[in-house]
Amino acid sequence: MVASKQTSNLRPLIIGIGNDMRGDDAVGCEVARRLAKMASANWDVCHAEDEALALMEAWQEREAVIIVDATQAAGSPGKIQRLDPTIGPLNSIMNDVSSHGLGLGYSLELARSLGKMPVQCLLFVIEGIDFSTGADISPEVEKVIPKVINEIMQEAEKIVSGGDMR
Amino acid sequence: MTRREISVDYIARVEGEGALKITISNGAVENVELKIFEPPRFFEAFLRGRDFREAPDITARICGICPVAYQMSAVQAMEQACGVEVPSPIRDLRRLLYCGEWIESHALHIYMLHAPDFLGYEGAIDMAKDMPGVVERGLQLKKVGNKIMSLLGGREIHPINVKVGGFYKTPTRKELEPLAESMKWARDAAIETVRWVSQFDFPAHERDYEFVALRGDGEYPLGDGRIASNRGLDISVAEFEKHVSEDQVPYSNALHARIKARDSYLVGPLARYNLNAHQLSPLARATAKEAGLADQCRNLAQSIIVRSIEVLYACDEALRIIDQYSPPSEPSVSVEPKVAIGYACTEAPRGILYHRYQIDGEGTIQDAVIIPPTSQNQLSIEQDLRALIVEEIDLDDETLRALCERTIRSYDPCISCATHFLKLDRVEC
Repeated sequence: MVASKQTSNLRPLIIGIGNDMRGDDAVGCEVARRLAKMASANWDVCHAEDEALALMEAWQEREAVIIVDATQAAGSPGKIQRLDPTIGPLNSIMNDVSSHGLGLGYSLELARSLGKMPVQCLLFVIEGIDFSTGADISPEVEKVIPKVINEIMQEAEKIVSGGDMR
Repeated sequence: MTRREISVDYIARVEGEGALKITISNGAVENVELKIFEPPRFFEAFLRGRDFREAPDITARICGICPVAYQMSAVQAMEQACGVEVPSPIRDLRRLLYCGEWIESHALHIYMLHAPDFLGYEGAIDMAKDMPGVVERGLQLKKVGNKIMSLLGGREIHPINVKVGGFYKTPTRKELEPLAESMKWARDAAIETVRWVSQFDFPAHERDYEFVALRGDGEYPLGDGRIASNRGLDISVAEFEKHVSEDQVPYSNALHARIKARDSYLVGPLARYNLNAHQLSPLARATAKEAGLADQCRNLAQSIIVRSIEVLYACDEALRIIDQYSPPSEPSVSVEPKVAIGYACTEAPRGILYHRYQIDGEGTIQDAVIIPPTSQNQLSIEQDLRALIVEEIDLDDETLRALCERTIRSYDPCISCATHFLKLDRVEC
């Protein structure tokens, strides 16, 4: 995981989660990449593996964090869900059980138990349809990426101007 | 006729996806099936036709928790096939990398997966609310293991710096120095971990396992040694398949391994410890003694103490290697392929991991056999569960289900590795 700019707890941190080699699972990475390329960006961006310690470290001493991830659900590919994990435990879609580590849902709840949840935290979850190995991002998910980026930019600007994401 | 069925649809706090089905007929345990439904991985099949130098990076993808084990077994099998022995500084660096994986994997299991069972918590998230300092210690220990993996492996998960013949890049002494400072903290934290877990309440249940592990030659085993057991097995790695069979069972995607001449056997920390306790570092031995752990331990639940001792040993050993480190003249040695079969067995955190490869003169892999620790333990897990259910058959389903899950977690199974692996179904008839 490499932060694209020097970290500062006054700037929002955008964390893209996913696997570039698993179809729609790459959407978090892709959103983060596009946001990192933007000139005069008022945010820091990083890519993280879906692993508890790495995620908690990424947002350590950060006041505002925006996380982008894909989800596998039934029926509405491209659907964007905006969740605020600071309010309370996430619903079942994020209670992930990963075969190889402690994932995002676990990271957020462990952070809450340890008092390490960022003061402001928003989670953008994009529903995917194709998570097969080697696949590209599906057209349904590709289509909504600009919308996700636009919403994240608006939230980031709110933070920078001293506002509250919620 | 009464028929009772207990199912655990998805075993929590284990690596991967498995289930358990218990059938009880007229008050007697009829069947215990540990179902590993994580899909087959087909790694052995797609290694065929690949270059022998690709094996460490391909097999590392089998597991995100123990990629180093796969890499170490792969490179050593290829080097053995090609008649190459790496210089001692490279061997030491591999041992240091393996210490990182032991620390990272064991800390995860001790603190996040296993300890909540002894303290009455549903999981580490609940435990963290009452004892944040303890959970933080576990996370920091895991982080130190990850640091070793990053420095030597190039990254924490699926390292990329390991190659047949050595490494792509080796560190300078100066680059290892900051690691030593972290390791000193970790060594103290590991001692605290041993003291913490040794105070848990353990069930008195013991079993006369056949323990199978590498037997170290003057050192606690990590990357090499003969394969030995407490029942007289003492074989070279190349003889492993002559003594161990793997059988398909209809309800599981993992193969069941057994010693042909006898039956089930146990690999992992308890096996390593029972065969090699005398080879631990003086500090690890003294700490084990202080914790009340004898040189022989047949109580599976106490494997959490043994894992903690192994974390301590790994910290001690890492510090020794860092202190004595002298960089190799070259990061790797040349390995020229030849028509051969190579064998290697190393001690993954969960037990012995066996690889066999047949390569041709161009270095193309013709055949590959990988036998991970969890599939070797699967039969033993089922036998432990059967004994538990016979003993506790009058318990209600929920309590029995919880006890079964605890037993399985004591093994620290890596279901993902075993598939080529919980849900508990209890059927009474």
